Amino acid sequence: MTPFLLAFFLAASPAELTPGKIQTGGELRFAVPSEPKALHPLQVTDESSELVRYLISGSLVRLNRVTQKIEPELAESWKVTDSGLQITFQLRKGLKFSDGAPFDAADVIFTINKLMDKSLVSPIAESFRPAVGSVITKAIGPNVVSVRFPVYVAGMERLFSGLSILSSRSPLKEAAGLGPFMVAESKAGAHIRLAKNPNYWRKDASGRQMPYLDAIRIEFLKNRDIELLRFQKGEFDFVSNIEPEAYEKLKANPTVTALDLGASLDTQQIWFNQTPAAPIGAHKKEWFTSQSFRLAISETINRKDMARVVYHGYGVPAVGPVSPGNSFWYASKLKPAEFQPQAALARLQKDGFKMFGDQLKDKQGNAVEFTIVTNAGNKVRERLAAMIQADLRQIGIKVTVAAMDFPSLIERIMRTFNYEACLLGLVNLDLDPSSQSNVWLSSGSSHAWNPNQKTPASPWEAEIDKLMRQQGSEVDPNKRKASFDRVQEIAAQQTPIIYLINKHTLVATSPKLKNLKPAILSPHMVWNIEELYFAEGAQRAAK
Amino acid sequence: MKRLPEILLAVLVLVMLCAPWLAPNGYEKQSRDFIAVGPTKDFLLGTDALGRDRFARLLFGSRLSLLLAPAAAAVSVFLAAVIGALAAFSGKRLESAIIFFSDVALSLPWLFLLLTIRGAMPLDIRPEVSIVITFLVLGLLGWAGPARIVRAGVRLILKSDYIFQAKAMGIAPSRTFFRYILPNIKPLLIAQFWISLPVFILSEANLGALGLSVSEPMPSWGNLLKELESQTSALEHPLANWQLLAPIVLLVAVVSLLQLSQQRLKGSS
Amino acid sequence: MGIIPVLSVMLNVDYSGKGRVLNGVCLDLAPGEILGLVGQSGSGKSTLALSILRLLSFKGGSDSGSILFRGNELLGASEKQMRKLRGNQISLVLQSPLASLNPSMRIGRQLFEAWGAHSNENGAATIMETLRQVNLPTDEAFLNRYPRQLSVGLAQRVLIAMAVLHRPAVLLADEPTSALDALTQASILDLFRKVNREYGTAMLFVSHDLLAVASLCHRIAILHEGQIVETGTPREIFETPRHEYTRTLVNAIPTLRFETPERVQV
Repeated sequence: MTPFLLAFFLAASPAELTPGKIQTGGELRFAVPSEPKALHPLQVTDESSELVRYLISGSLVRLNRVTQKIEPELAESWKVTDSGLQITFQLRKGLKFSDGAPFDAADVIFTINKLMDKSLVSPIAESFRPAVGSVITKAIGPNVVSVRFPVYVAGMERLFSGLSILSSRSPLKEAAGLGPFMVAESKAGAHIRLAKNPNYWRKDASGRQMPYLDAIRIEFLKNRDIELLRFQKGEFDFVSNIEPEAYEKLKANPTVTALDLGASLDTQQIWFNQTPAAPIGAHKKEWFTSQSFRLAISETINRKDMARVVYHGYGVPAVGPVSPGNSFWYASKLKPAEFQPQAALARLQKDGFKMFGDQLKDKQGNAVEFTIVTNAGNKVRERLAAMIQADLRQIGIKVTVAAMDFPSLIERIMRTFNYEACLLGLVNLDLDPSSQSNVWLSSGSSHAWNPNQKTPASPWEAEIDKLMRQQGSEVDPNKRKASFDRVQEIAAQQTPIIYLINKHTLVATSPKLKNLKPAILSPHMVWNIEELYFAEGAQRAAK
Repeated sequence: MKRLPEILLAVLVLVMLCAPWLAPNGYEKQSRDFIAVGPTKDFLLGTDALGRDRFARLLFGSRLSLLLAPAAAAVSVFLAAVIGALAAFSGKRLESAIIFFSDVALSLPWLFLLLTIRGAMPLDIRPEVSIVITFLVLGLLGWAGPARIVRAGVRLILKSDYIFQAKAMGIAPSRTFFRYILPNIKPLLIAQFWISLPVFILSEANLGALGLSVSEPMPSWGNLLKELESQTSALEHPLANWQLLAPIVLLVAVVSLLQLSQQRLKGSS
Repeated sequence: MGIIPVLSVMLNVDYSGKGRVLNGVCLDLAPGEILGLVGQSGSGKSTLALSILRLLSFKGGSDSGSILFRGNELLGASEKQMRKLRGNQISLVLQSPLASLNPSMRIGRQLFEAWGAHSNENGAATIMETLRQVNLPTDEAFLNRYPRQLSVGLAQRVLIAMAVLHRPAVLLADEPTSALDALTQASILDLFRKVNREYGTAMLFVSHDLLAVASLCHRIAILHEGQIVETGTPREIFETPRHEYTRTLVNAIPTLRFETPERVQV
């Protein structure tokens, strides 16, 4: 009886938002799978860097991950005028960067001007740079700044929630931040330690200086099994994005609290390298740029099996870039690709592919085989890859899986383009499709299959470009949705990215960590980092 | 009975070689309606998370490790013999050069090197090829330690009375080497071989646990053990999930059998 | 003198670090003669044998002077020439017989190796004959033994057999009986006498054991502090020792007295 009651009590506690007695101090510890590649807040391209960026820098506004509404941050208010072309921020007064440098309109202008530098390659820079014309920033007073876009930018204020404000004056340059924490120690390959920013501007209702925690220690730990073990031993305070198998085990552990937050925005997908400059065989490029080849692959992958086998039911077959969890933007009339290997084979045979024994060959007689690269240490992806391997074997396609460390993988898919197919997950930070413009615009750096195109490589990519810009300049949300639905439809027809599964967001936390507001949006557990505290007596001394 | 360890090892190798007949399910067939089930008539050790036959994977995985580890050990011992003997025989300068290189070799971060080598290999490399390369590299890298032992051994022999006596009898240098030195470092080489064998098996297992060794779907002791890493359920109910422990049991058995037979060899010579 | 010595030595030997070990040592060895060289441990007795075989460099020594073997100067001889002499014309028997045999080679094989070093002919007959001479069995079972299966005495006989296979003119024996018990020592000394008699081999018998040397040798040379201080027949050495050191040596030989030591009363 007692264990049951205890489990019930523990499960209920994180939902308890009204804090008990707030305790200050202590060091929060958790792990990320890879080392941040860039600590420059404007050059963030990977998950770990994004997380660190979030914790050490401040933005004008912040997206509340639970209510999914934009809230004031460095700007205490804002106004959108001129039919959505201009936004004017009223900045908080007297704020200081972590090194004591003052914060005012000049810093905002400085930051936005930096973003306009074409040599800056990062998702945030892409989303700020308009297709034509230029962004004009003006200081209307020391604490009032206006930003004017040449064209309407949908959900404009959302853009600013991901933009770290840099100091125009600090000798530390981009290392000076306005976030609740600042980098105290960075040990390559091991961990990064963040210390409380003494100049953080936010105070709680009772006037107490935030954040409550003294420090955060983020370890770089590729192996999630070890992360889970250490979490259960109390060495880490929470784990997010848990795999279903582990989730089921944690659910059975009464000393931790496991939570299913529902369908996430995250996707698992595979795409073929269509980059013209890729150092791969010409015949392979021909397959990968062929719509029917990509469709056939998509139709040979058994997504239902994946959801059942790999996700233990905590996942749904994906239709496209938008998860069913995103009710407004989800294209409900699209269906996941049918699992129909025979139809897929027929489709390939129409294109001149032929079966020889159990080996499929193209019309020039090349055996159809390719390598999927993915990151090592991610069991789910390794299993998905093994299932794809087995599924494609049915129509005579031989797949090799090469798992590698994350930095090498990023190097291959973003710099050298020396890969054939890649299996990866995409972490969506935002509900709004504007945030995906760097994926869908052919000039985008995250246009995975063929990034940074000068002109669209195909008519359908050109059409997506047009639609993306359209939805980005519409004021009427429904018209925007119509445009983006069309993008999703083209994406489904052309399948440049084969979407596999939308998994549920599964997290677990130590019951000692209080004030958590877990959300399906990243960073799930620490988006309200300044409010987190440890229960009385549970603070870990910061070393 | 004294030869029991060798006999058991031979039986094991034989069973591994018969894997295709003993485990007709094969190591990559995914029975997706039997995910992570316990032992049954069709799956003697149950199935893994993708419905693959654990028994087949164990047999095929052991086959790779058991066949390739001796090869790697042989490569490293052969290199050690040549380099070590060369060092002992040659003049001061070559000897100190060899010692220098073996010091360097012993202090290099081999894991990083292996990562680099794997990174430099083409991606579409067959799992069979990649594991052969892994073991070959392990073998090529393993010479430094044994080479120093061989060098010390040869030097000791060179100082011995029987080598001096051979000289005093007018035996030619080449004959001295092949008849008087080589046969006497043979026990040393054999001992080195047996010592390094379990080391190679374990390093492959460690590399596999880092995602370095064999790639899916081919099994090896490395990735079987890696899979075990997350099987906390095996620790929670060791008897209910005994089949999960099979790879560990087999690894421990093989390594201890190797140690036993090696001790016996040492004792007899 | 009249007789031409088979071996005539005049030597200085230095060891790096140890300085001069032999200082103007002069020795003549007549054909068929057994010359005993007696001295303390470390007096350079073994060094002499090594120098004669030109193997000194292996132990880190250098020498100067003259070594005439049958009138030929060995000091300037090439390694190739020396290899032809070693074990063939001049052979060596060492102190520790078990350590001097190749542990991983059967006895028979080692004898054939020693034979093959200087002859292309089939040595089986010679080897068997020699084994019989040194009172060793000649059966397969014995020849198939490894050195570790032999006693010290048998091993020393094997070594002597190997040393005399090619009927050398000179046999250098370096403390060949020191590692043996008294009975074995006596039989090995007998064996040296027999070899000397049968084959007329001249011997340089190096030992610290004056009694053993006296019982075997025709002539004794006393080596002290790197120099030959006295040479003479055993009788001369024992009865009229001239040099102070020789007297010390002779006086140090225990005489037999049968006195019962007093028991301690408890």
